[in-house]
Amino acid sequence: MGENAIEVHDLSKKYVVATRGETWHAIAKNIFKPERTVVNAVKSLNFTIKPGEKVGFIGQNGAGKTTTIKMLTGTLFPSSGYCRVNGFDPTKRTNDFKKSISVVMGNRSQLFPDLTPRDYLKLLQSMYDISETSFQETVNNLARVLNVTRKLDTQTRKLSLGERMKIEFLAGVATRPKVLFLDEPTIGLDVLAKRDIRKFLLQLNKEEKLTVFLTSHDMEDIATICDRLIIANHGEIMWNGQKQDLLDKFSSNKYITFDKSETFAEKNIEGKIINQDDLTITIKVPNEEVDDMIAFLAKNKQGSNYQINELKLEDIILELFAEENQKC
Amino acid sequence: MLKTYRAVSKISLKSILANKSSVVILLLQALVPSIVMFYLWSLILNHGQTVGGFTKNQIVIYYIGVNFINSFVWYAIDWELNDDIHSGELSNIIHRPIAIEKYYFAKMVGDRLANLLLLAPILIIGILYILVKNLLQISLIVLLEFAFSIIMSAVLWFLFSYIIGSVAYWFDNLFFVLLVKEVLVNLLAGFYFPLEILPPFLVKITKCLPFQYFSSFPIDTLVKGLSLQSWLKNTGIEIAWAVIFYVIVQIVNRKGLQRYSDVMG
Repeated sequence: MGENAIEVHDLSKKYVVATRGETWHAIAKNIFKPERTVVNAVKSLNFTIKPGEKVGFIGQNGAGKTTTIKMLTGTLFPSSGYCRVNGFDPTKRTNDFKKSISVVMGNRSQLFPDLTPRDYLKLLQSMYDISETSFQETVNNLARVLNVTRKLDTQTRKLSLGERMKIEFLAGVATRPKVLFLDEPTIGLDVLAKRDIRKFLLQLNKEEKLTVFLTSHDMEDIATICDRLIIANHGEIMWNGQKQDLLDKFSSNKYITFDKSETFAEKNIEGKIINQDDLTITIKVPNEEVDDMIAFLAKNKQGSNYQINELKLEDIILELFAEENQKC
Repeated sequence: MLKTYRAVSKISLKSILANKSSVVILLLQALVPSIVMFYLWSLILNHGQTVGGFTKNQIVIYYIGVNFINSFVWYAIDWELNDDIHSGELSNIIHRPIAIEKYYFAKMVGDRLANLLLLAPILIIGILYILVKNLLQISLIVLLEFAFSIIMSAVLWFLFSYIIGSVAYWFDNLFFVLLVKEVLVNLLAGFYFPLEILPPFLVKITKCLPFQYFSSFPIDTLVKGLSLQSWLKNTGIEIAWAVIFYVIVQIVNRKGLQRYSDVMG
C-alpha cells in the first residue's frame, strides 16, 4: 500500500440514460431506435486521502457523491481516469481489496429481514475469513458501544430503523476494514441514534486509525465527524481542504435573524439577505458592523427579537453553492 | 472458501425456514399439481391404455417425479437476478469478497435443502405409496443414476436460468420475457406432459435441446429403465451442455457487470 488510503486521478463517470417521448410516434420510434442521453455524473475528480483521515464528501443531489463512492468501492467502473484504494485498483474487484474496505449505505439495507443480525454477522465472519473468537469479541465490544447487545438475536424486521442502522455500522466495521465508506448513514434516524453513531465513529477512528469517507446531507454528521471536506458541485470539486480552514474563511461575518415589524421595508436592509419569509428575515453582516446594524434596525423600527449567530457549516456550504451558481 | 459458500447456503436455508408463509405456499405448490395430475391421468388411462409409451402407473410416477423436480431443482434464479439487478441489491454482493455466480449457487443449494426438509414427510408418503402399490421396481444402479441426474439437472437449470436472468443487465423489464420463458421451458422440459406425446418431428427437436435434462431425462431414468449405455450417452451430452452454459455464464457475468456499471449506478 502506498502513502495514501485513497487516490483519485481525473476520475470521471458518464451514464447512458434512456429517454422516452410521450407521443405514440415517439414510443414507436423508441422501439426501433431508442434515444439515449449521456449524463456526466462525475467530471475529472482529483484528490488523495491519507490513512486515518475523516473526510466529508459533500454536494447537492446529483453532485456525483454516490457515484464516486461506487467507483471507489468497485461497484462502478470509471469512464475515464482511475482510483486506488488501499493500493488496490477497485475495478479489479479482488477479494483482498474487498476485504480492505467496508460500505454502509443509509438507504440500502444489507441485512436479511427474516433472520437475526447475529446470523448476518456469522455470514460475514465466514466471508471475511476471521477467526470466530476474535470476531465474537469485536462484535460484543461494538454492540456494547452502540447499545444493541440485546438486539443481536432479534429478527431484523422487528428492529427499529435506528437499531437496524446501528447493526449495519457494526457489521461494517466488524470485518476490520481499513477504509469505511458511508453514504447518508444517518438518514431518517432520531437524534439519539445519530449521536450514538457519531460517537462510535469518532472512537473507532481514534482507536483503529480507520479512514472514513462520508457523504451526508446532514451537516451535523459532517461537522461532528470530519476533519476535512471535499465539496462537489455538478460533478466537480469546488473545495478540498480542512474543515477549520473553511470555517475560518467565513468567520468574519455573522447572521442576524429578527422578526419583521409592520413598518419593515426591504430597502432599509444594508446587509446581504440570506433568507426571509413573511415573518422573519436573516441577513449577513461583517462582525464589526453587527452592533451598529442592530442599533440601526431598532431605531428605524424594522423588527424585534434580534438574534446573532455564527455561520454554521451548513450556512457556509449553502453560501459556497450560491457563489458557485452565480459564477455559472 | 468452501466455508463461505456453506455459510451462504445455511443463511438461505434459515431464511426459508424462518418464513412461515413460504412454507405453506411451498406445500401447496408441491401438493396441488401432483394430486390434480394423479386423478386426471388415472381417469384418462383407466382401461389399460398408454400414452407416449407410458402406462397409467408410469405416467402417475412421471407427474409425481416432475413435481418433485420442480420443487427441488427449479430455483427461480432468473427472477431473483432480474430483481437484484434492477433494484440495485446486486451492489451489496459485488463489494463482498465472494464470486457472484457462486454466491447465488450456494443460495440455491440452501433454498433447495429447505424445500427438501419441508417436503420430506410428503415425499416419504409418496415413496411409500409407490412401494406399497408396487408401481415401480428399481435397482440400486438406477437409483444412483437418478440421484446423479437430479444433481446435474439442478446445475444445468441454475446455469441456464442465471444466463436468462443476466439479460436484465441489458433490458429494463424482463417480466414478460421470464413469463414466456417459463411456459416454453416447462413445455420443452416435459413438465406439462411427457415429450413423447408431441409429434415425432417435435420430439426430435426437443431431443437436440438441453431442456429435456431439466426434468424429462431424470424421470425417464427412473421410469423407463434406460440402459446404462444410453444413460451415459445422455449424461455426457448433459455435461457438455453444462460446460457450454458455464462458459456463457462467465461471459455474461463479465459483460453484464460492466454494463451494470455503465447504466445502473
